[in-house]
Amino acid sequence: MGGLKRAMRSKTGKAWLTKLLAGAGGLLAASISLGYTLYERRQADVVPQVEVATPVDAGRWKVSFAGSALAKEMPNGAKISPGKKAIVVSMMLENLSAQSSNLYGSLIKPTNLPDTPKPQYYLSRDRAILWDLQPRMPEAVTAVWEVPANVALPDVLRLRVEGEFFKPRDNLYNAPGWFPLGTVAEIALPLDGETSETKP
Amino acid sequence: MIPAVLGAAALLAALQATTPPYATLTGPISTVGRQSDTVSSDTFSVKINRVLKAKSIAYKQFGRAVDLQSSGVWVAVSAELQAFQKTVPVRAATLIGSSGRMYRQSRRAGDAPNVLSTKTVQPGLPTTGLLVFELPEDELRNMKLVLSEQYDPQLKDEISVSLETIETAPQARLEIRKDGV
Amino acid sequence: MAFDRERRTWLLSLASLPLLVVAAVVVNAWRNIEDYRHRIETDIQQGSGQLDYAGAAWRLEKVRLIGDGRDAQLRLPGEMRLIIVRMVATAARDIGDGWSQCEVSLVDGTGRRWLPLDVILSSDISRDLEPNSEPVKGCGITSLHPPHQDHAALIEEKFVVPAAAVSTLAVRLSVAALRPRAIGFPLALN
Repeated sequence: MGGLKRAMRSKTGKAWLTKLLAGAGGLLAASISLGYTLYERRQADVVPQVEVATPVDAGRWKVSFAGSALAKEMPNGAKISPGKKAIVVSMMLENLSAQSSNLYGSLIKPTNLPDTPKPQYYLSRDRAILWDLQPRMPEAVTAVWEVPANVALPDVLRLRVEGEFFKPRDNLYNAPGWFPLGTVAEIALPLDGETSETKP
Repeated sequence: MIPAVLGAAALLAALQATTPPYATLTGPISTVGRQSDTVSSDTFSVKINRVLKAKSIAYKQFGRAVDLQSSGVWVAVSAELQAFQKTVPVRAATLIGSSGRMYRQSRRAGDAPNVLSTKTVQPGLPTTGLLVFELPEDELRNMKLVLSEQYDPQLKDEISVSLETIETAPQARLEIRKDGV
Repeated sequence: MAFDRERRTWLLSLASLPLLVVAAVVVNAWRNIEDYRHRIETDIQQGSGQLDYAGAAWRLEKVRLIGDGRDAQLRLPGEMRLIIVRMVATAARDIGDGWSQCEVSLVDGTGRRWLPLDVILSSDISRDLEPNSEPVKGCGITSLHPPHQDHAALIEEKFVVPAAAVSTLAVRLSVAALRPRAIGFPLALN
């Protein structure tokens, strides 16, 4: 009778130990995952501030800003939409990837303008709308945001540059692709008064 | 028992490692050829007539003169396309430079006369036109021209033609007229 | 005895494995097979008078061959010929969206297919040929607003074909819901 009780106690003892180990393993995995997430978040908070004419490497694009201004007309000579103002940022833009691309729409975001859509880009060389940029051929381009005319504009335009990184084999299709990286740089550009021509 | 399991595991691992990626399995059906030949796929064929390089391109659009400069070199390829069984709009043209970078046909010159991107090839009617590209000067050796109906074709034909390297220097100005270059 | 029965069951299971694999592939591919059948035209009903299809009675209204100088005194370069096909559809019931993804093409005796010119080019050509009338819409645009019951719609499509193929051409029309069934009218051009 006593032997049976002892055997049962050792069995429940074993079961209790197994449960403890399983719980501890799960807790360890969760805490490692949490620690890594916190570590990543901490790293990403530091965003470098850049000056005018400093090149910024954003993965697929390299951009260096020249200046920003309020424009009287679009860079291709077209009129600004009625009831709107046009903010023009001029820059040098280079395609760092291995293929012609026109995916620069999400590259630059203004942080102190009320919600703006993606900017329209113009090629300064042709004074026309920008289509694809070819690899290893930097061009002077201008980005134009149209905001309603009654919006108060800041003296200094703050812009964020969003970066991307390249994965030769992604997790879903095993195919190459570019994925968002987060903000890689910020710049403050003084917003000049009305100009009729933007200088590259 | 154990050797059979290990053998099966090794065989499956070999099969998994050598499976082509999804992008290749659902990608283009490629036909490769040389500039001197007419390169034919199942649906269409290409015969390159001339390849010219120039520092600037000029043409007239709606009576207005257009002059396009570049930080690199313009390459104009004159080609004859034929469709076999069905109407084929050949909208995608890419030049692969010597570094392997892919330069898609330039939309800056998209409204020049005779450009192939505005033409549709009908069966029985060979169509000649121009493909215009813009690339850095050091990419001009061992180029390949890649043509298909759309960019990133999926289970559609793609023709790849190796272009002969042009030894002469680029001309200063290339004028594109309705009747040719 | 039991060993024999067990062995027989094992052999039976092994023999049925290929059949089960095939059945699994077919069941999984069924939707893809259906999609593919809705994109091809294999069952074509030919006629020269009126044909019933997709809730309407169709007939060939007018065919113009342009490019050899006889029609509109217009000569096209080389072997190029422009063919303008007009069809009339009289709705027998309310169509709704039964005509969606309608495709019109010209087919010759050897199986080559010519697809119609795009809307903008087709409109430009119509305005050049008949500057005083509104261009007639193609099948795609008409399918968005099909005619009501007992009303008729006129559809026009333009094609560029080589002169050599003109004598054997037939026009073919199909809609997504009824493919692979389609209707065809020989053009009977000389």
